[in-house]
Amino acid sequence: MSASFADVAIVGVAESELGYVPHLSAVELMAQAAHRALANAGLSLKEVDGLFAATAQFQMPAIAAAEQLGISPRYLDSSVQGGTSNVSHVRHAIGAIRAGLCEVALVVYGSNQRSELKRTGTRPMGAKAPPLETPYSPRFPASSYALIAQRHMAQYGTTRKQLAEVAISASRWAELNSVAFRRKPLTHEEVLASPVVSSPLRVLDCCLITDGGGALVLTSSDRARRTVEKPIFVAGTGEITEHEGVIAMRDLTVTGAARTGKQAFEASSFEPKDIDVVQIYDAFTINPIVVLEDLGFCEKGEGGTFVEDGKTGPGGRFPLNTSGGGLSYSHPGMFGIFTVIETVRQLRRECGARQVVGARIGLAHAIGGTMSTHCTLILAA
Amino acid sequence: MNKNAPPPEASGQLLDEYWDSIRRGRFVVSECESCKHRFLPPRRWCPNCAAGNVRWFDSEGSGELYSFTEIPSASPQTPSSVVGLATLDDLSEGSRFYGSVVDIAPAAVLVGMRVRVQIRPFADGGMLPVLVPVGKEAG
Repeated sequence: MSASFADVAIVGVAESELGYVPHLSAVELMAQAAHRALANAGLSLKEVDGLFAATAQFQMPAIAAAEQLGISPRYLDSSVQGGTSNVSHVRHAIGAIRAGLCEVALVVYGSNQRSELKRTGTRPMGAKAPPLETPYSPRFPASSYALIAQRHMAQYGTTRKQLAEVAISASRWAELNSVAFRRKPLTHEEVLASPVVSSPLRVLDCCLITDGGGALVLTSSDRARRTVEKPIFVAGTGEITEHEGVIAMRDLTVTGAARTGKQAFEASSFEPKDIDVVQIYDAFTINPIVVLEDLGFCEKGEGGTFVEDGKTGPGGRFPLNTSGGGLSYSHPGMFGIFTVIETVRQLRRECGARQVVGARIGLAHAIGGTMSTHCTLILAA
Repeated sequence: MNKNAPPPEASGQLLDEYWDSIRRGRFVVSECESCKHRFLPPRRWCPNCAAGNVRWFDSEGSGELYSFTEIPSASPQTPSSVVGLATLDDLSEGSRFYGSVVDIAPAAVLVGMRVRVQIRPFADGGMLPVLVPVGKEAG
């Protein structure tokens, strides 16, 4: 199967410097990633006529990014949906390109939350707990995901050890990624000995707090074929929001991924068995477990068993979060864009030691808020 | 003073009406007069049928603990280090109550245990609805 029907493709991807980057501001991290992604695409800034930007750190990110880059795009989008924001931008860019509202779309993200936390003692956040939760002082958003994990464990017998498998697998991939933040593989003992943040979630079940930016360049498939050797086609997409706070989540064990996966698979004509490599936003270890079920890679309730025995790690049968994910590679806040960057690199076969052999079709899935918004992309070489 | 405590004065905002009711000892949820959907958080428009005639309903507060989490770093000013979501008999499917689980050792809390919402005073003088295991309710 091919995705020759897809009319929009990704032609450039890049990260900024990652980790602890105290010398760059959030918008400069966006700019650095943007310059690198355009170089990666072989396009110049003056060809960019659509700009899509997100960050939790300032209002009107597309305007700030445009001035920083010195461009005046004719299509602007600063929509923010938490961790799905930039993946949502890919969908919006497809619409804009199809409608002729722009030809070359630049999607950017940047945050220096680690530096800000170190400098000010406070981490910049785009969201806070809903008003009926705040009087009880939960850890936000960790406690919301902890409630999901606890329910999944009670309902389906998912174990504490299975949660740890997700963190360990991510750290083993990160060992193979030279720009990853945590490059030493974790052990079960280390995960289970880390302090409880919000039970059953421990520190090592939670994503990193890093600085960093990312960028994507998209254009029509026709132009993409003239621009780069290996365009990566967007074969199918899905997007949904189902609630804001977990108080309004109908079933803590079923996420919006059940619907976005269906949308994306139907649009692409691919099925779960066709996917060679998967990235799922792993803000917390429970997330890939539940979302793998909802996307149809295993039955509901079997996500914990599915990730056991190193199956999702290097050399495993189901390569998941091959960058090392938000748990071990990088997590500058809204991680969604990094699921797309890694998928594109895998499909271009650029991943060196962590390359998934024969990867042709990949899935990137982002989560925003407290399991609130979901966005799925199916990409094909 | 708990910085997250509900506002002391009613302003006409819907959530202030909710907290005002809690202060007077009444645990209420929203009920749509058109479709009888009962839900939290409170809204002026029914999320089930979109009707605008939503009123307050006095809830018994009886239900089952749907999930919980223990937060070891919880401030001593909060009612408990355990926060839970409860499915209440008075709420329509898919809607739940969120609050502290009190009067029980964290290690003894179980998903599925019977609980009841009770309004309790706290050190800072505020009143909060919390989840109490059935058999341990005061008053």
